[in-house]
Amino acid sequence: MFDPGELNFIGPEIAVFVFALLVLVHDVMFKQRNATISMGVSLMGLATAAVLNLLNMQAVDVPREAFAGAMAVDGFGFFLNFIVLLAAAGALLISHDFLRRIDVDVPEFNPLVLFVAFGMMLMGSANDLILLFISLEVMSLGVYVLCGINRGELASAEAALKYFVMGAFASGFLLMGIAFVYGGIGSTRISAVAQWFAIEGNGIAGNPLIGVGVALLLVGFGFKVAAAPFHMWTPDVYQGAPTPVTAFMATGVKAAAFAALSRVLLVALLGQNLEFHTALWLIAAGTILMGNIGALVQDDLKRMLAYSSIGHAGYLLMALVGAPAAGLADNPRLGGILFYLLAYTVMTVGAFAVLSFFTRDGVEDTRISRLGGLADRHPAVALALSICLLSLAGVPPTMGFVGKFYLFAAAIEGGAIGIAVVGAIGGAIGIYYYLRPIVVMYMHPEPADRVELAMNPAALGVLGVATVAVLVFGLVPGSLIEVAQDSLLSLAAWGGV
Amino acid sequence: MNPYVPVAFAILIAIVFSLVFVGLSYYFGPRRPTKTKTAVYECGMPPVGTTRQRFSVKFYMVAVLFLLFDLEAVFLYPWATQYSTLLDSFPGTFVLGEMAVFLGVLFIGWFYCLKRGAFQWD
Repeated sequence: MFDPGELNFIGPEIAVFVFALLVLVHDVMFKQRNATISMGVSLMGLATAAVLNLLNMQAVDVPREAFAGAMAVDGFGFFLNFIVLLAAAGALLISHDFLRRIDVDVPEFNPLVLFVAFGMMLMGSANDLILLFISLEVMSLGVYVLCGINRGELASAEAALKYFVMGAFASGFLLMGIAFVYGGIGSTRISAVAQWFAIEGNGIAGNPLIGVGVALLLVGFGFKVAAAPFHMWTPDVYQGAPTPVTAFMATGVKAAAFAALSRVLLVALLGQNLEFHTALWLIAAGTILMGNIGALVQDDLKRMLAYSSIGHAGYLLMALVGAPAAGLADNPRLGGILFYLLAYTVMTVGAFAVLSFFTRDGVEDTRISRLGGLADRHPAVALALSICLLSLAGVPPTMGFVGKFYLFAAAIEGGAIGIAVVGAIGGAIGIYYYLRPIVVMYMHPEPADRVELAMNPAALGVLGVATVAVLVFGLVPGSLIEVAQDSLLSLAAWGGV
Repeated sequence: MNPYVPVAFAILIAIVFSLVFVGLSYYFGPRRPTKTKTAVYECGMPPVGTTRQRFSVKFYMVAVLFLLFDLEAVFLYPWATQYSTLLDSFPGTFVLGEMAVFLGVLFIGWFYCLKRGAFQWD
């Protein structure tokens, strides 16, 4: 029986969706659309969703199902909603002046960002693999278009096409995996999968269908979170897409896909199933090494951040390897996953805000050498970028350090010492390539053909807020860590691990 | 013995025989190609050009829009036939409202297509 009160639980999603439609109608209604109004309404939508999400968070103490079990209403979903809303707001603010500069004036941009955010938010609370797949597609279809929004630019079109073809392929794997899991246990509910595994004697040994299904699921998710060996598309797509879109992909898409993966793994699959631990171990180790080694040799800051985003996916997977068999409460440090997703979102959006300043005659130019002399010309921007990069590298006292500390703690407490060693090696490599842009900014002279930075208040605001947040939550992470841990522990309500 | 083994043998024999005969005629058969013989239709219309032509993206747009609104109609039918059954377990405002929301969203999509000129051929 349907209870209209359940609609409250998707209040934030509905708000984002309705505002997306409003913005869409506004954007096409007039011959000359007002970009500021469009932006303002979009941000209002995100703010409304954030408020509704906060109200839900306070109203729901005990995790519960909604819509006949298709959706899980729990702290995990609420926390992810905040990350998605932040990422979307950051991307929108960065894009405001950027799109004008690269001469892309399309009415679709803001609505698409909102639609994508809508899909991401649903993804974080999907308790049914079918709903998960649909929300993933809502997200992905929007992002494919956003990648190619600058269609006059060859790299942008290439990025969109590559992402689309590979993404469609990966979606196929995911759907096939869902079909096999359904064939194996007769349900697509994530909590039902968990209950099936909890029955003595049930496992992938006696049921090859579910083994194949889980392998296919891992491939599909691996592609979406850019985990090795399914990461090949990442550098090209991240480099080719317009900077605000890249920022959104690196933060929102990654957070949403990773949240869905964590939910599936932590609720249903990990725990007693040692086979999955081994698979995850290998993927995590490969991702950490691939990402960090690949980033070493990049001359383009955007491409370097793409490889570094692969590396960061690896650190998150590393924490998942440490998921305990006895129950989530055994390893509360896993809350670091949510904290790190938030931290990664904040610091990455900050770094991309700076990158968005580097355009020349409507074309992006983000080579690291362009950073030369930035510290003399714009000391504040250079300092802010340095703080964001140091946070990405995991240097104290930043948010990135706290997050990384918890990820390593989660892996070590879960007994996954080996993968933590791999992670430490990756982190050490990371310090080198994150320091390189800082060295260029502070010690190299300006390039001879320097271009004035296209600074604008909106992106500067994003950069300022991100930098302050990175420092503040790096120094006093206590309450935020607690919220993240509680949110992750809410997954325990669904059984499984 | 597995009852399917004879079937496998039949398949194997078919493959071997066909390969042998194709190979024999390839090896012994004379080949004197002429322009007419190698044409796509030896006794039909002479081809005028490649079939892999580029065609206007407008057709694509029409196809996508057709699919979109066709599917809308497809979703209406099961709803309409089950309407009275749905009323047994759900309040009427919800059953009607759900479809109203669906159509409303599609209407906005239609409005968007209209304003962006998707329905204009030129």
